[in-house]
Amino acid sequence: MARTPNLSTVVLEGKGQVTLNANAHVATGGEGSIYRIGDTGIKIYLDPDRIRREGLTEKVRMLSQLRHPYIVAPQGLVTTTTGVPVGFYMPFADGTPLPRLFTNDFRKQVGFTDPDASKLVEGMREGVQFAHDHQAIMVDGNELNYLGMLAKKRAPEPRFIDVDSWTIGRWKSTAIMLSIRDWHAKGFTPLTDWFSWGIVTFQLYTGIHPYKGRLDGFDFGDFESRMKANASVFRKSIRLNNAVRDFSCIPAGLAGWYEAVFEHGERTVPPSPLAAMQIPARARTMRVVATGKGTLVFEKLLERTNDEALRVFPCGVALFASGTLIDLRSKREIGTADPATAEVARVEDGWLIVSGRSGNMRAQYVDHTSRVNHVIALPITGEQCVRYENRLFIVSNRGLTEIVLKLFGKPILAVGQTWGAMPLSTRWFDGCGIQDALGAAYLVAPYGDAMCAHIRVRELDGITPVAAKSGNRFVAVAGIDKSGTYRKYEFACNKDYDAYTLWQGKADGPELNMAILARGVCATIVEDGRMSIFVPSTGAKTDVQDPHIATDMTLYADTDRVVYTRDDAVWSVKMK
Amino acid sequence: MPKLMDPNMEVATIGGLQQFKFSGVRTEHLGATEYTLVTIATDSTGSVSGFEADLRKAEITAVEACKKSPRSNNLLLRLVRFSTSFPSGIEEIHGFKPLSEIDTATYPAVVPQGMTPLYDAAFSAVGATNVYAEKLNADEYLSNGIVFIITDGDDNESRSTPAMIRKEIEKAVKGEHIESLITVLVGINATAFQQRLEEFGRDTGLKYIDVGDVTKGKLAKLADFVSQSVSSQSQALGTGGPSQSIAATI
Repeated sequence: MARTPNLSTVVLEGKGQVTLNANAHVATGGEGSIYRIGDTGIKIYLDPDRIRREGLTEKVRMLSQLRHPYIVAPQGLVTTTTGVPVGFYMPFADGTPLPRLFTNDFRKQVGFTDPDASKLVEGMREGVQFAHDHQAIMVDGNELNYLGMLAKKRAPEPRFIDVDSWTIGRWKSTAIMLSIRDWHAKGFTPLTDWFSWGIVTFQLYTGIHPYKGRLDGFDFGDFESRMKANASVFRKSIRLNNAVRDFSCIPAGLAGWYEAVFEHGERTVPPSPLAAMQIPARARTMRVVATGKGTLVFEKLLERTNDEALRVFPCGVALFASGTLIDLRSKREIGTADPATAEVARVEDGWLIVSGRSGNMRAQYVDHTSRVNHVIALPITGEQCVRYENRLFIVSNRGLTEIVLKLFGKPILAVGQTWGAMPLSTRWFDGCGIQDALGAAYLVAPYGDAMCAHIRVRELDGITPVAAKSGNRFVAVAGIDKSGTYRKYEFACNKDYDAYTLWQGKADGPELNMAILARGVCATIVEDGRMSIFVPSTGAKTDVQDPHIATDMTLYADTDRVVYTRDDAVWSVKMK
Repeated sequence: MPKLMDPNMEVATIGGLQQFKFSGVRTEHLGATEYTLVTIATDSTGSVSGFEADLRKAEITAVEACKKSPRSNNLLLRLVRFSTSFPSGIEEIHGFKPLSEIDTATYPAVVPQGMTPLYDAAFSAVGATNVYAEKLNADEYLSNGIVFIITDGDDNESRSTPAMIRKEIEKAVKGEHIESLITVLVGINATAFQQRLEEFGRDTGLKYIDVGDVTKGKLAKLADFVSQSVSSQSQALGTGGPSQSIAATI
């Protein structure tokens, strides 16, 4: 194995002798060690014989003809004092690694703006074009092979480093980073360089690799498969995190080029970002995270074409009109069920799905890891299924009977506790029942992990309930009083469910558009532009104004986050 | 004096009877699109007496070196120390937070006392990484992780078991919430326990590295090893790893 020569004094061709010592050492990588003496950088190959073997002396001479202020090309050979070539020297570039400029944190820290990004990108475009004009191909133009030179009073400029790895003359590059590789090309050409340039510069604008983000049908982070499939961030169903900058920061002409290259597989030379900077408008919205000017952040979690999103269960599974059930976290289908009657609960290592009515009820268990669907027998017959958070019950003549999953090698449903409820005079809603016992109203409210309360609620006597929703220590009921007026009742229960405080008032209609989160926080849309967030147990309440809020959003709780359905999509909403 | 909680941070609990807690920056305050989660867990037991100042210096050197990584803005670093002298055996110096917000000058002195809850340290370090990665995943942030457990001795006081640690590591290996996780057990001044620690590494999936007897040079190398490994793991997340040899066909 070749060893690093023991160097102290070397000769810089055309410049004279210099001494390399520990103070001059900058770094050692896989190929060689870099030293700095004044404004000069010196690369000494770890394998000195490589220069002779690969004829690098001639390559260094060819690269030294590339004279451009942005390109840190070799300027001459470095030899031992006896004239044996051991490396080359170049201008020393001490700039900012490009990945830092991808992040919002660093951009804020140094005041790097979108126009700065365009100036830097233009410099990178100019440098790549210069290389091509001189019959050189970068091949491995990844983000670590550029530096950003940031100065307060000057436009940012790039520096192209690792130039000795470029393809020029008979010397071919030997390595490329996977994240910038054009998987659709055989070999490496100026157009593959432009593809790599696109990948890197897109991140300068947006902060994200154009084949990252979450896209259904691909594993999260599997950018290689996405690149091969041209499945980029320009897909309608892409889901991006909040650190991604809005694509509107990209000059329009260049944005179109990015989309054509990443999504449609076109390979062309990019336009200058500066030429297109004056055109601010975009043809269409490219992001699914809508932050707007309001106080809330809206994020599209899932969308299915021509399949209306009907409900979201507290376990984070969305039900669509086709009956398809999709886990919002993995975005994978977990099964299908009758959309009118389906109830889904998260149980140990999977999901329990019950649907159907009367003698036609059906239960399925879906394993969380394998997604294998087991149809399992219900242990009792009943009229319908009721769900409270992640507990499931069967309503029968005996009352409300909990069903419990047991995993004994295979999933089995067992009969749990039964609580009495009059079958004919109890109406069942989302998480609770309201019983009219000869004119006396009772709430039948499961709570906690294994309890169910029977609460006398005189305020509902004579009220015809039309909707109800129950969550942690809270039950909301919408009903019609004897005068035909819609009223809303909100019961905040104590922890033992043997006392409650009540808020009641008039309502516009029978709808209860409300999310009751597991931690006891509720959200409801009062009117277009206004959402009310409140904690029933403490009485704390905040009204949030945001122009994106609309009454056609139907709110649900996904454990501790508020989600909503609208048309074919499920969105999340949270405070900025 | 109680530590004031940074409002940008949130506290979470790792599953299991021990209910280990950890903190991490709230995702709405994150400024990059993907992160490498770094945990350094340092032995703070009685046996590190004599080189406790150097251990703290190694922590600081490692963290400061990470700040020089090209992807330093894509790192979230958590530092804990372990000893039975702490309630629950673990003291979190700081939770997962961006390097730019970490002031290493405020790292308290290592006070060597107590027994070695090594298993608890490993379990909570890996568990916290998994739980926080799950949170990031839910908010569409891609992440991977790297955990260093630095010890000079074998476990002698833990509620966790090697089987629990293995299960946590296997959870990460499945890659459901975290792209990959590297776990390193570093033995320093631990020659007497080398066989036991190697066995512990084999039982759990932690990669064991013996640094040998403690010297200032060895601790400096340890810090360098930590920062190099962190940089390499971060690059693997962002770019698919270092440049690969070219096979010019699809």
